[in-house]
This record gives sequence, structure tokens and C-alpha cells, in this order.
Amino acid sequence: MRHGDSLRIALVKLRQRWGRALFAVVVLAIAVVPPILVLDLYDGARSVIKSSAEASGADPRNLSIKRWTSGVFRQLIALTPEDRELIRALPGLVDQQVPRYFRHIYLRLADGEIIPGAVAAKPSFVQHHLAPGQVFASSQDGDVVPVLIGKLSLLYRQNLQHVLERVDRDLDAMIGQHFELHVGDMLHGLRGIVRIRDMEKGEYRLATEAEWRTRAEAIRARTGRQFDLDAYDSSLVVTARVVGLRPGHGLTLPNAAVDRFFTWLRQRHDRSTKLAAYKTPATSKSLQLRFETQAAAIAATEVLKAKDLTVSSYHEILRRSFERIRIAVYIVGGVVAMLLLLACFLVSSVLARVILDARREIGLLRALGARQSHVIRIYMYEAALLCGLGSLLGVIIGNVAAAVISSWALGAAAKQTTSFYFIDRWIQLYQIDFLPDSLWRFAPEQFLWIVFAVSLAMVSAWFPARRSARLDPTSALRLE
Amino acid sequence: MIRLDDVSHRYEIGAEKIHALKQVTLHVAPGEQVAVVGPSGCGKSTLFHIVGGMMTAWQGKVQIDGKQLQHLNDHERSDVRNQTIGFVFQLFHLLPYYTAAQNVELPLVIHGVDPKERRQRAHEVLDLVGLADRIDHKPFQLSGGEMQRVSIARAMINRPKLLLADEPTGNLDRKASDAVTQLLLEMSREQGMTLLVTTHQETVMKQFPRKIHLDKGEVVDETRR
Repeated sequence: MRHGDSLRIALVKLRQRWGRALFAVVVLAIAVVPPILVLDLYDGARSVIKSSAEASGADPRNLSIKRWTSGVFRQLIALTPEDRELIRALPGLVDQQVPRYFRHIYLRLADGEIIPGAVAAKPSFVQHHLAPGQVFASSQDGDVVPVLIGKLSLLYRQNLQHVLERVDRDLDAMIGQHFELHVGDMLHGLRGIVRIRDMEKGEYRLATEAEWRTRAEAIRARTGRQFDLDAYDSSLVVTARVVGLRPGHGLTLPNAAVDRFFTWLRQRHDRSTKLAAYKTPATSKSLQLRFETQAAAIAATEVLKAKDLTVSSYHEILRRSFERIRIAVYIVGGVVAMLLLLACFLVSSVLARVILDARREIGLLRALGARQSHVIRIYMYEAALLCGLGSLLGVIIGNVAAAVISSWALGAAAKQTTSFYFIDRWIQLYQIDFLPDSLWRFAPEQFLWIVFAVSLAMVSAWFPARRSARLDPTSALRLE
Repeated sequence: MIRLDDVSHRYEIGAEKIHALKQVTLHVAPGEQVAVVGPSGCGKSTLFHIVGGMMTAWQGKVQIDGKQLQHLNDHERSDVRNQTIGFVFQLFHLLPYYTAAQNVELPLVIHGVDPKERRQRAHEVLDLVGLADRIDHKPFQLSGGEMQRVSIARAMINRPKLLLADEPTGNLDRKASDAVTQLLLEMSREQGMTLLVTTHQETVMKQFPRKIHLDKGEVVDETRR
């Protein structure tokens, strides 16, 4: 019997028993969806983590240092002036900054005029929030001029959202004009999601950096002014951008309004239990250090540890964060494994049933001279077709679901959460506490899953097919 | 063509042993037309299946076209069934999802014949059995007599040396039964095929020149016309 004929017979049989075939296909698809979801989201998360880690932390030249007290309840305390002296003197030190929870708010004003009065008149603000040299660049004749009006640090994205809404409302009231508020989640160079207020609907939505740039281009085209958005890429930026102010029209913010605004900001953050992160480097409890070389970082580690400072490389930090959530991975991995086993059992049962139901046909084919191998081959093709179709459907559904979940998770995270957790195929878990462009990525490995599903089906089909093929034709034909 | 020497067969159902055939000796010459007759349960179907190589006799020698079936492996027996013997069953055993032509083609499909050639041959034999206008009909669109003629066409498509029919008219009315019997005899004559038919119907057996009477698994009588 030719292979083409075996395949054709298998196809005709499937078409005839489409109900059962459909059931098998759906069961298989359901079995395939969870691994595809995990694979896709894992791959997306992995690529995001990789780029983020490369850009921000997991560089052997980077260290994080903290000052701990001793005792049963270990408490983080601020780095002392002596610590700072020591740090400043470390050979090869390139940069030091407070942890990445810091966000900065800039107000971009019009007319090329920097409005320092409103901000600089607030010594408390300058003292607590404004670091020297952080006034943002301005264009020469700018229609759009960035001015630093505040810097705040946030531990939770909920805070960020509330703060932005409040800033949006208050500035709107203070300035008396429409403006757009942008959140550039450019965490350590990560190209992320931008939150944009829709001027027409008054709603917030997430947009990609590309879209933000497109809008910036539109502003540039409209105003004819040149400015460089790339200047923000290495910063942690939340930008309040006033759009549409005419040249020659300055902006006056009433002192009382500004005062009220910053008072509110401080109150908001003083309620947090993790104030340390809000401090400027001068009073922070932990610092991120960057060195010229890994050797310099290693040498610095020894020096800092000798002074009873807690020093972690970013590799270690990542590893510890993975370890903390390992137990969750085992639980979820176990559930996925159970699902797979259940699916395997269902698939085997369906295929066995299909084959046993067809014993009369097998008897006829055998009576007409089909060899055992011919019969087995037909059922192998049938199983492969069923499982190929089922797993392909599963792959499609899995990918769509992964894309939807990714989009949903990003939207939800922008409003409520700080972290995503993903399990990779080797039972390892990653934590992402920032907003990536997308968590979904088409994982090429999923084609291996199709191969696995088809192989599984063929193994499942082989035993009942062989048993039926070995039945003598007389017995099979009597099963009328 | 067919040579059975002291063939016995028994079924074991639990502890019970049923002797379906007892030392049956039967020689059928090429081109002969033979009816194996007897009441229900006399061993006709067992004989049909043993001669057809679908079942191995418990004892004795079975030789078809010079080949000792009990000495052949499953592969070789399958090839004998496919290329030397044509089968006609009482219940037709047509695949319901295939058309008449596709059902007729099956032995050629198994043999690995080129699709174009087998299609052409299927049309020829369906024409021979008078079903040229039913080629693309599926079994449920055919009458009992027509289904049996499709079954006969399927049995003949490989131009077998031996045509075996097990109660071919058992599910047909009188008119269709006569037509099918005549068709089998004509085909056997025209193609020079040996024909062995099992039946319990007198009207059928009367038309055969040689009749072998079975009772309780034994050959009790043999008549020639």
C-alpha cells in the first residue's frame, strides 16, 4: 500500500468521524495551550529581562550597597558621611545613584523661558527633591521648554498613577491650560511603555515609545522647534509637558498653588513606609555604584565589606529574587505537569477508542490483503493528523492568548501591580517590576511542542493499532 | 486450485471445545464451480475463512494455488488473499464512507497499484456487473443486490484465480439472489476463475454443478451434475 493511499484513507476516516475527530482536536488543543502560553510569555519576559538586566543591573561592574544595623530585627539605616567619603574615594567609580524607584517630574513650559521662580522659591522642595544640576535642557527659542519642577520617588506604581493624576489635575488648574502628561518609563535605558493622556477623552492609556516619538514629531512639525527626545533615554523620566503655549506667553504659577501641590506630594510619600528610597543620594540608605571594570567592582566589594556595608552584585540580587519565589514555581510547574498528564491520558483514550471502534474496517482491509503494517500505518497517519491539527490549533490559541494576556497584564500592571511573575520551561521564575513593551514573543521552541504532541499521539495510537491489526480478519469481521 | 487434506478446526469458548470442522478433505480443480451447502452452524463459514487464509486450521493441510497456507507467514498470507483470492461476504462489508468505485478499488489500493490504473479497472468491473451508472454512489444509496454486485466487482478487480463467496445471497430477496448467483457463475465462467460458494439456500445450490454437503463439520455428501 502506498503512503499516499494510507494518508488518504486516514483523511477520509477523519472526515467521516468528524465529531470524534473534533473532540480529539479540541482536547489536544487544550493540552497544548498552557505550555505555549508559558513558552511565549517566558520568551517575552526573558527578552525583556535580558535587555533590562543588560542595561540596568546585571552588569558585573555594578554593585548595590546598603548599611544595615545588627541585631535580631535588622534595619536599614542611612549611609553615613564616612561611608560616602569612602565610596567617593573608591578607585574606578564611574557613577553612583539611588535605587531605581526614583521618578522625576519635569514640566515643560513654553516660550523658551525657564520659570525658576515657582520651583526655586521653595527651599524645602529644593532641599528634599531637587538635586543640583537637574534642571533640564531647554531649547533656545523653545515653544516647548523642559523645566524641572520636582523629583519624587515611588515604590509602587499605584502611587505613580495617583500622583500623576493629581499632578495632572493640579497643574491643569494652576496653569489654566490643557497639557499632556507623559510617563516615560525609560528605566535605565529600557525602552518601555508611555502613558498618555488622551486630550479629547480625558483618559489615560498606554502607548509605546514609538508612538510617543511620533507625537513628539508632530509637536516638532507643528512648532518648527528642534529638540532631542533622546536626551531622556538615560534618565528616569516622568514628564509633564505643556503643549500649545504661545511664544511670549510665560507661565506664572501662584506660590500658594505650588506650595499646596508640593505639600500634597510630600504628604503622599511620607505615608509610605519605605521613605529611604525617596531621599537624595546625600541621605539615602542604599546606593547603586558603577565601576569602570569588573576588577574595580570586585576590589571595591572587599573595601566596602570591610567597613560592614552590605554589598551585592546585580547578579546576586537577581539570583536572590529568583530564589524567593521558587516555591511558587514548583506549585505552578506541578499544576502544568498534571494538566499535561491529564491531556496525555485523554488523547490516548480518544485514539484507542477511535481504533477499537474501527476493528470491523481493519478486519475488512486485512481480509482484502492488507498487511499488519499497512493497517498500523493508516492509524499512525490518523493519529498524526489529529494531533498535528490539534496542536496547531493549540499553538494558534496559545499565541493569541499570550498576546492578549500580555496586553492585559501590561494594562493592569500600569494601574495596580508592580511585578509580573513568569515561569520558564526549566522551572525557574523571573520577576519583572517594570513595564516592558510586550511580554509576548513567538517562541520558536513551540514547534518542538507540536513534534512532541504528534509523537505522543503516535505512541498512544501504536499499541491499540497493533492490537487491532493482529486480530485475525475473521474475528474482526464478526464484530458487526 | 483448492486442496484440503484432513482439515479440522475447533473453537474454544471457555472450557468448551466446539469442533467446527472434522477431517475435511476437499479438492477443487481450477475453474470449477462448487457450492458448499448445509444448515446453519455446519461449518460452512469456518471452511470459507480457512480456505480464504483468514484463519489457520487447527489440523490438516490447506493448499491454495499450490501454496501451503500453514507454512506462510502473515505477510505472505496477506499477499495470497490480495492477489489470488477474491472475497464476497454475506454482509457485503463495504466501507460506508467510500463510493462504489472506491470500495471496488480497495484491493488494488492495498496492492499499491497506480491510482489512474485502478480507477480505470474499477470502472471496467463495475461495468461488468452492471453498475456503470452507480460508480459514485455510496453504499447507503444502493440496494442490497447492488451492494452485493459492488462486492463482487471488488472481489474480481484483482483478477483472482479463486472467488470465495460466503452466503452471498443470504441478505437478498429471491430476485436479487438469483441475479447475484447468475452473475457469480457467469463471471467465474468468463474469467476462468474457480468459484467456491457457501450457501444454505436450495435455489442457489441448484445452479452449481458440484455440491458438497456439510453437516456438523463433516462432509456427508457430494453431488455432481
